[in-house]
Amino acid sequence: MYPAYSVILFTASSGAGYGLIAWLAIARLSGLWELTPVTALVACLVALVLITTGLLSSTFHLGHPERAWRALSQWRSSWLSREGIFALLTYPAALVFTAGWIRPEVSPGLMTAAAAMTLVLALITVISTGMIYASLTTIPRWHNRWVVPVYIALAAASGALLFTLVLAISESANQQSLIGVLAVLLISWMVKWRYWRFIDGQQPASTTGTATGLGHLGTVTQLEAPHTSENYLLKEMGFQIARKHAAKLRRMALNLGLLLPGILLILAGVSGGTSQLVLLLAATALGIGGIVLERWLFFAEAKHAVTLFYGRSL
Amino acid sequence: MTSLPKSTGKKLGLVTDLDICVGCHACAVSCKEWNASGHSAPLTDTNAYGKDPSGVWFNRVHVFETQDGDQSRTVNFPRSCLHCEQPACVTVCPTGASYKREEDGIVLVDAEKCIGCKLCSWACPYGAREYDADDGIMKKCTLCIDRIYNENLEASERKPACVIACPAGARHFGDLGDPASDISRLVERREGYALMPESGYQPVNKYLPPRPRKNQAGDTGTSDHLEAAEDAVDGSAFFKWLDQALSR
Amino acid sequence: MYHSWGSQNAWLRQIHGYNRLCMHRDLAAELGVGDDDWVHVESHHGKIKAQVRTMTGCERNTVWTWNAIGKRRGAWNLEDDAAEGEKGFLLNHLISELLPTDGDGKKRRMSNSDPITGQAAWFDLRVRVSKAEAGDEVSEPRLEPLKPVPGVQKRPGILRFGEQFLPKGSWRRKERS
Repeated sequence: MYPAYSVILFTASSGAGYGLIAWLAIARLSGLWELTPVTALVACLVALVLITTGLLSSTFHLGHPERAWRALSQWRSSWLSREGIFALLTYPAALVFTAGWIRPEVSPGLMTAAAAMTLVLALITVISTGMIYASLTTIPRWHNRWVVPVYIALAAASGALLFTLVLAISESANQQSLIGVLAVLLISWMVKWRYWRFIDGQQPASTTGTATGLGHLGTVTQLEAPHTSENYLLKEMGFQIARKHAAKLRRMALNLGLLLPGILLILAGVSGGTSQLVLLLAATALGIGGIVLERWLFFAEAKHAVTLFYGRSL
Repeated sequence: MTSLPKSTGKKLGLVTDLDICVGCHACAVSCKEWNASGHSAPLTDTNAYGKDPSGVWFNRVHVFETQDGDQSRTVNFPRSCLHCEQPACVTVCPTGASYKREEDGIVLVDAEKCIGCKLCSWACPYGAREYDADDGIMKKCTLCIDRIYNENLEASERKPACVIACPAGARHFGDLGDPASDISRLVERREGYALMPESGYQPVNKYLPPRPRKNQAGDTGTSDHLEAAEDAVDGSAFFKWLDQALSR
Repeated sequence: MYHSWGSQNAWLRQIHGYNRLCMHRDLAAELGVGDDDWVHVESHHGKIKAQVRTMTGCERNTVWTWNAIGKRRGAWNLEDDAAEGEKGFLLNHLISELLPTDGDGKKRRMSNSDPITGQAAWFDLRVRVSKAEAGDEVSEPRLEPLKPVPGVQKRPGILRFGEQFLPKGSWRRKERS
């Protein structure tokens, strides 16, 4: 599938934003960390900017962004519609949660409710995003039980990295917390790694033979395509990446997303002050870079059933 | 509305005879021509006279080769929307632009609602939908809905453009939901099948498989045309055939 | 798609923008070539360079192509980098218009065509096919592009046939010149 940059940035940015605000909500609900109210407020605003930027960037990839409001109407059948609705529903709770860090009008009870609702809705929204892809039976590499967990895990991972910055500024970035974040990264990329193993071992049932119904006549190959230059189908659904190239990029994603941030987190655990903040900024930048690369690969490695008609295999 | 109708009154669709298709692309070109002057207009072409021309088509003709040991066949293969009974292209649409008509099962795109998110084309395993980047909306086969009910046309012309254009008589149109219709009987007789049945979309359009090779004398059976023309003309088999061929 | 002038048609040239030299898989294997590899094709009369397509339903020692597709660059008012000129090729360069001389060379040479209708009848041409270096990955012979004919309209890049039939005021009537 063609890796459209607007979609990649959308899922990475909004994923990071939902992840960050979820961790902030968890911090508030669990009381595990002491966060400076102003820092938490700013962090919530950053999260909202990331979410909003992501959502807006997704509308720019539309043919008619001015009609985007219509996308809220078909929630009965469409995961894309549901994602839009949940994304919007998250805002009221998230805004109350954001304001509540410094506004006395938001009572502790209301703040707790806002935090809980933000956490739940952020999770549901990320699940909806993952389900848009996982529900498509035309792409076996997406239509499996690993995709939604990957979306949740990497949103949690990118959010957690951003959260370390909040902790550092609040001077609560102790070793245990950073090890905790490292654990989140590790688990997330393990889920991703299991996804890669799963798709590598897949044997999709559909072939050019089943697609054309000519399989009973023998091996079916395409002699002539309907067109000698690319059409929309091949441009959008026919994007290909060589397995060796993909393997290299997977390793790079793991290095950027897990290995390097991991080392930096450990170093940050034994640092303080500005140097800790700098290490965590580097970890966050690299970590999110790894996730952007992972998301690019998620599209690039996906094979669509229509390519069977063009003589390819899944 | 993207929830699917529980059932449709008719199941209008096309049947393509892979035994007859010669791969001339007349169906593809006539489809593009008809729709270029209709509700889907224009079917934009970009880089039209340059290096990588690309355009919106609703019907595409592939050529496949099959090989089994030393037996090989060339099969010409038109591909267009199959107007499925359970099309995910309808259910994934977030705006309701993509819908399936309850009265006849035709799957359409509402050009005024489509936001051009392309998700429907991702959901279609048959490549039925092509995005018009210039208009920013998705376009697809309409089963010539503006022909089949069009009182301004002669009754015999109220068929999809591709069916009329085919010089070999390889395309048929009718109600596949009516087991007594000519088209349903044709499918039954020739063991017509659905493409990629494992998709679960239940295509309404069917394809007639290439007939078994006639490797020996005496393998020749009667053609469908002759069977249909049994009552048409009294006289020799030659005149029956001639009459049928001329009245196509 | 079957006649050269079809390449003037924006729709037809999407179907066939270039042609390939089609040959049986076994012949290709013997020559050490596969799909899209380049080969030289030589006859008594000339030599060309073209890309291969392998197939099964073809006589073992016969090669063929959709010959009408190949064009000289700049012909038919196409862009200079159109596939018809860069990748498309013509067998015509291999074929003599006249039959060989008759013995002493005194008699007028006969046209190399069907004696009754005058149509092209070139299926008996023997050629040698050999693997070629990809080089610039363009077909040969490579002639200088034809200059645009004076007064011919500039070719449009985007075609929107039929938009003029939409209702007036429709947002899809863009009518850019």
